[in-house]
Amino acid sequence: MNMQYRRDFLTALRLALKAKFLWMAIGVVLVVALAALLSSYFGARQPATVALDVGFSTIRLLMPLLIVLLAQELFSHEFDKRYYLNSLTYPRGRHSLLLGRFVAMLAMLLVLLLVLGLLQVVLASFIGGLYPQATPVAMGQPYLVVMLFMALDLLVLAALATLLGVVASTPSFVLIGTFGFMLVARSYGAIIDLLSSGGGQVGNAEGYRASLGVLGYLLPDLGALDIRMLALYGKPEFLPADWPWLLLSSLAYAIALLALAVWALQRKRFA
Amino acid sequence: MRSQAYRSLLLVLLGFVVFTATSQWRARTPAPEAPVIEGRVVIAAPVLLVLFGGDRFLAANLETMRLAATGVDWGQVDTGYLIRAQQEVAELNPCHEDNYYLANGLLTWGGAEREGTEVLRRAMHCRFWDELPAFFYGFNQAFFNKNIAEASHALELAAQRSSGNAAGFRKLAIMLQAESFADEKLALDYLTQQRDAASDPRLRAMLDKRVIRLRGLVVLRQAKRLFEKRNGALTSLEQLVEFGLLPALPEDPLRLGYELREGQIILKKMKIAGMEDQS
Repeated sequence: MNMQYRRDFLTALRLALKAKFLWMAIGVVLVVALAALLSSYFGARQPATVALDVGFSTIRLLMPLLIVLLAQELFSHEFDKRYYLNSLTYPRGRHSLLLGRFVAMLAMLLVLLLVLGLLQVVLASFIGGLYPQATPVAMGQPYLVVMLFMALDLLVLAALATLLGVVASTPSFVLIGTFGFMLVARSYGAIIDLLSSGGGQVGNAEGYRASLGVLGYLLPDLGALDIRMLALYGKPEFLPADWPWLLLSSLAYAIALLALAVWALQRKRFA
Repeated sequence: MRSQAYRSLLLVLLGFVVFTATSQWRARTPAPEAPVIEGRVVIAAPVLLVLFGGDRFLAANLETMRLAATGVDWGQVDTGYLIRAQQEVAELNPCHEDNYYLANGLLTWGGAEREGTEVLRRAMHCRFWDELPAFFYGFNQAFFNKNIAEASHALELAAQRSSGNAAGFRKLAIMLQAESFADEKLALDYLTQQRDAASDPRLRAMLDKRVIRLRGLVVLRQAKRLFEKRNGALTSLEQLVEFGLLPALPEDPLRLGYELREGQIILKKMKIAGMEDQS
């Protein structure tokens, strides 16, 4: 049993390397470094904060792209190119293929996130040394918490991409579905906030708010997982009071998606 | 079988002919008069949020950069545009330091104090540890709105947040309540200090214009005090020149000018179409 998972894990790593994952990861690191460095020139009074802020945003946009590419490589192409004729003929359960590969995908993403996190620490201390700010960035424990919440956001997206990779009949649907989900789940909470505070832009703000609020029962609030103000301004008050519930609900959602993916693969009929 | 193929080819030809003819026809009919849009378009905060992939911080950052780079052309500030755009940024991320700082420097002292002060108010609430926005906000409330109660409240807030300057803020609040000080001189000192601390030459040039504008106000108010000591109430600014107190009225580099209202000389405000003066 244990052997099988490990074999799937290693196969997944090999598949990802064959698909030039390493080069993509290096590209992501370069883009994040460039974006953070260049944007710091535009932060007149807070260059390190702006650099860290743009760095977080770049990571949050590029990592889902990697998730999609990995999910296409590890799941969609498996069925597309009929690799399953080989990989599923051994005497073993289908779930071990899915879980082994999912864990491999997650491991690669977390390693990359770790590298990016260290890169940001170096950049922030370098830029912070050039111009002392009134409110310095907090790169210690608050930064770690922010990165953990971001990892959870990526876990939910990876679980969704896995599910789509199993059920979708074309690889491009993994891309569309994951990014569409990401866009809605990350923005609806903030849009509800803006409509209730700002107003003025639409006539019937209350009606919009009520109908958007329904989304809260269908999608996890990924926008709330973005607690970067904790690290940007270094004030513990920016940690939302309901953070245990936030973590638990997102984690439960990811597990549910993954279980759904296992169930879908068990019942999948291959032509 | 062959006639079938020709028939579909015929249909292709027919379709393209009809398409070409109707597009020619459409091109000939005159287009309806396009509504004239004045000023640059500002995208509302919720739409910006979606455009930037649901990331309000990225939207706030890139908008601030864009405003810093394009809102100011050849040293002239497009105030009407900046007013609306910076308020959207203040909704996306009210804690953004560059945004409130630029809004205070360029909007508040450029004739749009109500909008600049609103950006400051949001920054004061979001940056609950920072004394500067609270001080700016309190000062603007006293200087522009004459709202002494709100001003002392904000200055007290600044004093609570400050580690080194609490006494100064409290003293200012008390002086405001006693109405015992010439606020334009303090404002001039303050703006001059801000200008000298600016490292960007273009920002410095822009703040310099506002310093010159404020210096004109100080000169005018001094002359008015002299005038009123001798001749009684001043009825128009030109009287200062007629009575020989000033060689000429001071020139405002922002070309907004000064005005006499309710017995006091004030900085003339920007007139924005559709916005009533509520002071």
